[in-house]
Amino acid sequence: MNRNEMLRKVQEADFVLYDTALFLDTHPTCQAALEFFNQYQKVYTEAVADYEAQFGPLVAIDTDTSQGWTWVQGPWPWETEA
Amino acid sequence: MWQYEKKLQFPVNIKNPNPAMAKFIISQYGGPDGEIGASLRYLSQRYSMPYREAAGVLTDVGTEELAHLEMVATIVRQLTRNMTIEQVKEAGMETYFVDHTGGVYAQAAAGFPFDALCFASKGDAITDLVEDMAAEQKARTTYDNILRMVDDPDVIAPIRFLREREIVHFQRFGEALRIVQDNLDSKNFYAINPEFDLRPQNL
Repeated sequence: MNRNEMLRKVQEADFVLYDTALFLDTHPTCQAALEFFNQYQKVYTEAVADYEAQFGPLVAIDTDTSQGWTWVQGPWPWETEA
Repeated sequence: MWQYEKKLQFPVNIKNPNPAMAKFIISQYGGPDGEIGASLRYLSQRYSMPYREAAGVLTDVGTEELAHLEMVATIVRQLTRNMTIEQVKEAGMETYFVDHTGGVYAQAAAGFPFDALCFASKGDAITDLVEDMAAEQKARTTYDNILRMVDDPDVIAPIRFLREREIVHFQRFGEALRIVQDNLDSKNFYAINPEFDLRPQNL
């Protein structure tokens, strides 16, 4: 997968978690939603780790300093994807 | 605190710059029903919100609005990148250009700058949540109006995503309002302001 495809995996899992979190805010005891959220937490964690291993940090505190300050390398989100 | 994530909530990839479109889409950046007003409205209201679920909705929706602010700015930026002076004049963007060049500035489509008067924080749980439900509908109408005027699929896709989120937020705020009312006297929800009158010193 290229950068955009891997980023899309992160965005999809992030969106699922975000939208489910909002639902859980007003339905905090919904067991089905809690299980669904837990399932996607794993998907999200894996997608972020896969992306960051190849393309650098999504959040500054994930920067691997053995590679230098990679946080400012690569495109910013407002730039058109290649 | 907040932490920046180096990604958009929904992808924006506009192939054809079109400054004339940016002129009105910028209203959802800094206009009266735009994303910065939405974010600051919810994040300001949450401090005095006495019900945990409602405070959660205000925090999480207020945070998502910041991601929407970034998406709108990205649309404006991509629609105005590399524009020539001729394109600025053709699009009628001279007044914006003279003040901001190609910078993204928080203003309404009509040109007036962002004004905190457009967001409310009344310190009353019912008042604020009803305001929030109306705010989501106003933003939804604005996105509907934008969709009537754009024909580029690269612009339509992210605008439609943003429009859908307004509907989801409206739903969540409605549920938060119901939770607040469940905690109040069903014979008269308005007998007291739970943010003021239920503080320990008033009981």
